[in-house]
Amino acid sequence: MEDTNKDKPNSRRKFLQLGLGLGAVSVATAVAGKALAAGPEGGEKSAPSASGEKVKVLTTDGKVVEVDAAQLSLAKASGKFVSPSESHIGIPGRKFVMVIDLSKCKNARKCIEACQEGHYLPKDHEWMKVFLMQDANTTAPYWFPKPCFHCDNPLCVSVCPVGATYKRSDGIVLVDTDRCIGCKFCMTGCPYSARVFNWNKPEVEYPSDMKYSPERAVPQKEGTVGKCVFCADKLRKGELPRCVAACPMGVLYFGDILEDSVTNGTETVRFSELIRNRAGYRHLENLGNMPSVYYLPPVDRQFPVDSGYDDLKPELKERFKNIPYIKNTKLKKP
Amino acid sequence: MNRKPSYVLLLAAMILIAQPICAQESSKVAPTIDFTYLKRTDGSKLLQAKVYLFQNRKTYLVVNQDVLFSAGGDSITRATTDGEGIAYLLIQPGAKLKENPDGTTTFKVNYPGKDTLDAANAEITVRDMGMAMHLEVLDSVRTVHVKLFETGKKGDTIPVSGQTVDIYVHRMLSLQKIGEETTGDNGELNLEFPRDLPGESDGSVTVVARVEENEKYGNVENSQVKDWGIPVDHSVVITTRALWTQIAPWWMIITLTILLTGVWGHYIYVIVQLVMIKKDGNKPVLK
Amino acid sequence: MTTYNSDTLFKEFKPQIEQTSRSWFIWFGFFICCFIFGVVGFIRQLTGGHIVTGMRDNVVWGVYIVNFIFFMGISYAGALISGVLHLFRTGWRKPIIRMVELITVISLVIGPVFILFCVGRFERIPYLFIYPRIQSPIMWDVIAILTDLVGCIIFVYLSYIEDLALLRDRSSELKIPKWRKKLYKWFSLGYKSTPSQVKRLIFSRNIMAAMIIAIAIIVYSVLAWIFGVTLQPGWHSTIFGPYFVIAAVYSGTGVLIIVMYLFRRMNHLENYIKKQHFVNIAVLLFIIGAFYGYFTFADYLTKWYGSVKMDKELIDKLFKDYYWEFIVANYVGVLVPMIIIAFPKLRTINNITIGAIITIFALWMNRYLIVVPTLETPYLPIQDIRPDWVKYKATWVEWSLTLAGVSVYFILFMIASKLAPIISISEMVHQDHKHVPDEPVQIL
Repeated sequence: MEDTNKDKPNSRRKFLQLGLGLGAVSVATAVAGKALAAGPEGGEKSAPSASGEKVKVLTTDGKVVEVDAAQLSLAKASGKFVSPSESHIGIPGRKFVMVIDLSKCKNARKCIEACQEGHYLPKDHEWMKVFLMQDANTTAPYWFPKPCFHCDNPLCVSVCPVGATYKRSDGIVLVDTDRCIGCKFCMTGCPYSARVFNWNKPEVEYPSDMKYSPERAVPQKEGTVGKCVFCADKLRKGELPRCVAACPMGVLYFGDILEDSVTNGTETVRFSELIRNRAGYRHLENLGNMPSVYYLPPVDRQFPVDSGYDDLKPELKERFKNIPYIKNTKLKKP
Repeated sequence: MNRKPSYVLLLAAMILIAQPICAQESSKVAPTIDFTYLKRTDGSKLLQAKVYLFQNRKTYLVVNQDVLFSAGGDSITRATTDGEGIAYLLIQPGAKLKENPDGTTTFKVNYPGKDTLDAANAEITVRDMGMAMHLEVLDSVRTVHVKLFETGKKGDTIPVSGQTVDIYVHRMLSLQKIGEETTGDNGELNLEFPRDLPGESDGSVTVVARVEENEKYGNVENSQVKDWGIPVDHSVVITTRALWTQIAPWWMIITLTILLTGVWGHYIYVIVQLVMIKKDGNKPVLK
Repeated sequence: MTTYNSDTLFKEFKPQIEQTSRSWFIWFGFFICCFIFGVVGFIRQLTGGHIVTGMRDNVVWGVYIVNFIFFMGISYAGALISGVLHLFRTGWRKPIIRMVELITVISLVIGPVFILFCVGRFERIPYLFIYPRIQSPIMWDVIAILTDLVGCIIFVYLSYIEDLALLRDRSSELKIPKWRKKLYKWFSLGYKSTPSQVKRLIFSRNIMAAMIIAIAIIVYSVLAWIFGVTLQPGWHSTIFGPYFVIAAVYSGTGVLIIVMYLFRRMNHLENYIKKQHFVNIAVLLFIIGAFYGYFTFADYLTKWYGSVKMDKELIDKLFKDYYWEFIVANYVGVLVPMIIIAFPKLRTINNITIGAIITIFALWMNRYLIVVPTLETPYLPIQDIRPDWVKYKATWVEWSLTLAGVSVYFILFMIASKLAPIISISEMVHQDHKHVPDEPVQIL
């Protein structure tokens, strides 16, 4: 994988840029011809395998020949199917980390939408959640996006009786819903409410040919537990997780801590510098679970916290009615 | 290629809805083509055409469609868009391309259209520029030395000055910027390479110098692998026995074994006693 | 103490296992109806998914787990009491020891079934044995419950052997179907009270009594650690192991009093189970109740003073949203039974039974208050607009299965009391320590 990427950073970067704000799966356009695939997600399905992919080459003497893309280091890392047992093995030589810049989040909810589309989740299942936090009545509120923290000392994994959830060498914690018995012990074990239970059969249309892999976790199964997977399927292809790619504000940074590098799709920075300069921290550090997700405090904000509230649909506004700040500023009758 | 059921559904839905619209010739939609040009380290030129449709704030990729590449007016070849809607053409270094009078070359890509998809075109005009990169230690300073040049008619090199070059190291998900610098009159620039960047386990890093989206020259890049990084152990550390691993820590297995053998040992003893009671019962009772 | 002889006792109890009264059938039918209601609820849950329960993403465990803890608690209490009474040769244990043993086994059979209702994919329960991970407290529980179940069955069976042998020997006098006679013959293992058989049996019973006490403590602690090992406010407490053990014995003792009361009335055992038995058990209940109150107080007091944010939120919630439940579980449930027992004038059989009922109800509530409010107080606030996601409310499905569990408890008791006398004849007849010929007193 490393090699295939090395010589084509340009194309890689283009993909990342194009990927921003996209992600559509619907039969919306009546005008489309048969040549359309819906969105970048749909594209994956028909992507040829790396070895079989041919690229036309114009040779020195003006002839056009077809050459295997892999030989020209043009092949995209393949979206190869990863079976549940293979998914126990992490991406070699990687240790993933996410940094969330709280000063930039304005609750646009694009991360949630991209996640739900990419993993074919029902609308009320949020693997990525955005909380409106106000630590005390006298402190300032802020938006708090929260994926699974993929802890290095994951209590959810420790308490699983059948090994249905596991932590890999690259730091990702996955759930194998073929194994999960639905005891929900992991849900009580996780202090960050990262896990979601499928209380009934998820009423979501998903491509029927999609084979189940814990790395993408599609489809979700009734009576089992689901959660954020750091888009392990995307990472296998060297692409950013869906939420990171979808965030229009560049709130979410993702990268490999061994490379000391995180990117939000447009900007790539050194992880250690970011954490040092911006006083990065981990949520509820005192619990000792050692999350892989770091937060940058909401200082010098780019948006007032209200901007994330005012544009919401009424039913989403309801969620925050008990936050002192919202009570005092938004819900008070003049 | 294997067409997928969901795709068939999509298609069926489209045909159903599209029928009345198809009847009217005017209702075609025009895809967009993002056309990029990249000159790579080995001097080859990569043309990349991404064909897509942007509707209702959503993007639809145009896949498995032939597009026609041409350079300097000569049509070169057809190529097919892949699963991400991208068609590639790689032009090997030294391939003769027709130039415009001012020394530039115009590349064109044409999508002829199909069914309700309209035709689309894109073109790019660039001037061929070379980039040389040397990674050397000057006065114990690790220096990235880049030179931009054009090749004259007689094979001579003409320095290109005043162009901004970005220097990156390659990372798994993106390029990490080290710095940027503008070439001087001699077409050259120097940039100090930091000493504290982590590299592979042997300390190697891939340094990439790029001229990006330049109006005149397009994208030109040069990358080299150098052992200027701090060696980082990327080998997988497998934790075998912890609370969260699949296999339990030894002390836990030992404790459990002691407890269970203790209890079940007594059970077995009692069951043996029951068997003996049964045996005793079979003996005649002595009066 | 009166000495009994087996012949009179046999004649006295003979009708109880021979005949079945009309009221017995009416009650049996009633419990069967309750059970069928539970089956309907279970089918609803199977077809509709777990969404038909009141459990949601925050409160992932509800009444099912409460029932599980409750029944397991009763069971361990039974084991503990019967083990202790047996080993210490408490004279007054004799008429009630069989009831205690039955409480142990029957609760132990019912309790784990509630886990099957709670898990999302109960058909994958075999995975617990195919892919076990022993770091999980659930796996400890699986091992412990199985061990306990086997141990209790052996222990109860040992106590039945002599009676079964008696029933076998005198089966010609019994008007019962043939299969029951065969059953007696088969299960009495040819026991003829030969000296070696007697010796073996007594030794085995002593061993199992000791084992049962140890396992009861371990198993209920393990159950507590399912909660204790998590980081949830209110659960993450070192006191939870001992606290659960004490709470279990408390509720189990209460159940014993009720079972004694019911059988005393139903089977007319007034001559055997006397007021003194109730008072003795009530004193036990008093002591355990005091311990339970002390543990509860200690647990909440330190949390209250420490005022860690989450602990404070939990305690605020308990005193606000669960005010009455909290009062019932931790004040009424401790103080009322203790007051009844403390004043000799109040110590009537009826009052003690009422105290026991209060105990049981309070203890069920106590488990509810351990499970539900904690889950409603996660570290990250619940920001949800779906009301059932915010506050847990058990649905009819959960109540129907709870009712079914209680009915099965009674059904099994009713069947067990028909198979052999509910008072152990052999136990009543034996003079402690004197039926081992030529042997000094030996406890272990």
